[in-house]
Amino acid sequence: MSTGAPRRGFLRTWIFSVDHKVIGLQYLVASATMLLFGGLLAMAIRWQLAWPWTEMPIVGQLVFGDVGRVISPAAYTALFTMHGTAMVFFAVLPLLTGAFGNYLVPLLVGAPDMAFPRLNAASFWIFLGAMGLFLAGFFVEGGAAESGWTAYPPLATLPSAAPGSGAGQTLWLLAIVVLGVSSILNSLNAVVTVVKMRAPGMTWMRLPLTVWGLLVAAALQLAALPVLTAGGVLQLSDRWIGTAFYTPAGLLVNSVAPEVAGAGGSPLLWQHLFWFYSHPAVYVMVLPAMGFVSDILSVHSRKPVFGYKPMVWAMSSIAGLGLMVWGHHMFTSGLGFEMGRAFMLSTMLIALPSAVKTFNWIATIWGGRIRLTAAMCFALGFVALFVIGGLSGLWLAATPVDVYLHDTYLVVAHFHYIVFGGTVLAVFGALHHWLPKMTGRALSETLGRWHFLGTFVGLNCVFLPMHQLGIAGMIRRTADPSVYQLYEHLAPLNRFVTWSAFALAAWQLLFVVNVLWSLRSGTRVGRNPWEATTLEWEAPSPPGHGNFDRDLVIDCGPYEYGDAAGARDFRPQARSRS
Amino acid sequence: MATVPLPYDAAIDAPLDGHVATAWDSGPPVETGRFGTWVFLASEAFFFGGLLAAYFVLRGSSKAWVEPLSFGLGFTLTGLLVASSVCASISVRRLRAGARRSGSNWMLCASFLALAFLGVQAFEWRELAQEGFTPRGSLAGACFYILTGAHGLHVLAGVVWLAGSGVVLRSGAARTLHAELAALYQHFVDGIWLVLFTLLYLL
Ligand code: HEM
Ligand SMILES: [Cu+2]
Repeated sequence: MSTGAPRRGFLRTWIFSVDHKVIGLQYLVASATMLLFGGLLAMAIRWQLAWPWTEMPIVGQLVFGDVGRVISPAAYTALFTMHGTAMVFFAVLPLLTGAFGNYLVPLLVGAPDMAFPRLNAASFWIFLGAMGLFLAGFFVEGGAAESGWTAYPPLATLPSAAPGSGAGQTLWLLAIVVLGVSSILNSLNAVVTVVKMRAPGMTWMRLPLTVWGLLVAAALQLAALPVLTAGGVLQLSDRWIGTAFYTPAGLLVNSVAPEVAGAGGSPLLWQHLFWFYSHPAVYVMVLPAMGFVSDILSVHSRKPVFGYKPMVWAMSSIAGLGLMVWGHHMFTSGLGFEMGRAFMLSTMLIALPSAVKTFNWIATIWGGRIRLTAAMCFALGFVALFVIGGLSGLWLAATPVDVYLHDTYLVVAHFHYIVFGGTVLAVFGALHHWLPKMTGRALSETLGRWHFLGTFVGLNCVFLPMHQLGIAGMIRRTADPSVYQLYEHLAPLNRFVTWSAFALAAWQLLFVVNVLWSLRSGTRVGRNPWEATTLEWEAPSPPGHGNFDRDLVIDCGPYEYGDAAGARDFRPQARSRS
Repeated sequence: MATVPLPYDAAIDAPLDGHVATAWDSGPPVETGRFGTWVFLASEAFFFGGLLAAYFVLRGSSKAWVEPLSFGLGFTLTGLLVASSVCASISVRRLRAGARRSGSNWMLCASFLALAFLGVQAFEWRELAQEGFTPRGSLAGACFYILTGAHGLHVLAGVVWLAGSGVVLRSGAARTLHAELAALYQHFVDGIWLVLFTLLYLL
């Protein structure tokens, strides 16, 4: 507690702080902003898919005023590229590892701060720099990048390939490389903090699963992200120096041979390097969320997590296997039969630890005294939708099936079920669970549960029909499905999806209202509003500088619930306050 | 069924006065900074791993792979970097023995040798470019310049780090640990070079 410390000015406290909690909140604000921004881009995408080439009301004038208020094909391509990138790299990943990672890791292991506080601040400022580079893409000649969030060459490497393949693409690449540096520093800090700064008695098998999730995610980042950086460096070199790492011989772009001297490179090389990172990245986007959900389910159903050790093993093996399955994104890229089969098998193996986790979650709440808080609702929503997303993943993992379904809306449905239905719901749950700790004030439970209900229904209305669109053959990344006669009958469904998406987006206002209301006039909460066991609940809400106002000694695991002896049905991890 | 968070209770929830939590020390018995450096270097290894994977893929699938490199220059480069690494090691030994000033001298010496490495490399690049071996000319050229360039930037960082700790040691402010980490980094950069040297100049 900062009682003894001198008060500092606004700038020192909130802007140039090296306190892990402030940095966590900074990440939270920055990445929530990007989540909102990416969401708005998605609305424009849905507008185009429902009513292709029609004038956009209201915003059309503002954003597309100079091109007749309609979205051009190039603008559409930029829209989905920037949507995907904003969501994956600037919203979901930093929400988990930056916001929650920073805020929770030291608190949950009983440390006063991260291992390297200044490095931590640096990683946030580098992150902001990457965000600036990324957003600058909208304002340069030719517009923002247009090669999808996957940036496949030669579209991404040859400036002549598309309008956005010029400066916009360069800025995109720079943003990703710079962001990589930031994430590596951030992950390094997380790993070292968990290894070196656990409070006395906090053994490995007493760590809450949230910490395990964040730790395994950070380790994955450290191994896989540098490979993407290496690939990005090669792509920058192709663009700036004019090398031909990714440019094949004999390539024609718009029927002209591009000006590359030593061609003979390999576009597939990028796909390998990219997916070697980006498949593990999808687990980085889900492992911490799995951790949050395990903790929330346990606290709010007053039962220990079922099978703690299998949970830890499942996370670790998901991460380990996750490094060996990237080829499932390349089944149709000419991998060859043998490679395809190997990647199919390794991918299907991941279903095993995933299923272990799912059954353990169900067993955790089974027979519990469930408190249906907003946090709990969101955690339950995660489990339900993760199952759907995981199962469609299994379909896609079967090579023959994927040959048909690849690059259709079924893939879009698959990953949105996991990332939105799974991770984003888990983040909402985690916010309901931990915001009271961060701000000292409760959110409205009623509003929270209504928000959950609408979000859950809305998101199924948006993404469930996408399975059908995909099976009907509708390809993703197309600006105008109506030009293909075979998609004609899908138009009503597309409009339904769009209306649902608008409703879903509008519904999120409830959450914004809830947070703002809570900040102003939410009930003040104490140290432990949920009667939970883990260490963050030992600290005041919000915790002061240095986190804990007494020395901690940990003498039990994180999930001691349900033993209804006496007044309390839980046993805190730290030896009780005297 | 309690579905709302418990409110504030001053008797339990008010912050206690005067206590500030300490940083604990768990995990393997090494300094936090050293452990962090290990993790960082492991991650760096994956970066070079990515570049090398690209190298193998491209080289393996290419019919004409010509690297007109001078073995003599390569050998000189290797000698300089290994010598730099050795100097850094000697420095650490001297420091552990309590000889600050001589430790600092060896550190500066290590930095200087690494700088010389970069000088020779610049010279080599110019010669090669004049012979027509350029990054745009062939994939072999592209790989050569990217690999040695990425490595060279790491050497540059090493030059600064080694010189920095050499100077700080003189002012008497630094702990030995800082110098040790600089040396560790230099060994890593040296090791990467030995791999590159083998692949580019020898094979
Ligand atoms: C049970 C585990 C999973 C399996 C078996 C699986 C399988 C697959 C397969 C085979 C594809 C390639 C589809 C194609 O492009 O044709 C794919 C795509 C994708 N998956 Fe999964 N997946 C799983 C879990 C996840 C998770 C946990 C996430 C994210 C948190 C995720 C995110 C994605 C994304 C973003 C794509 C699309 C990439 C693109 O833009 O092309 N998946 N998945
Ligand atoms: Cu994947």
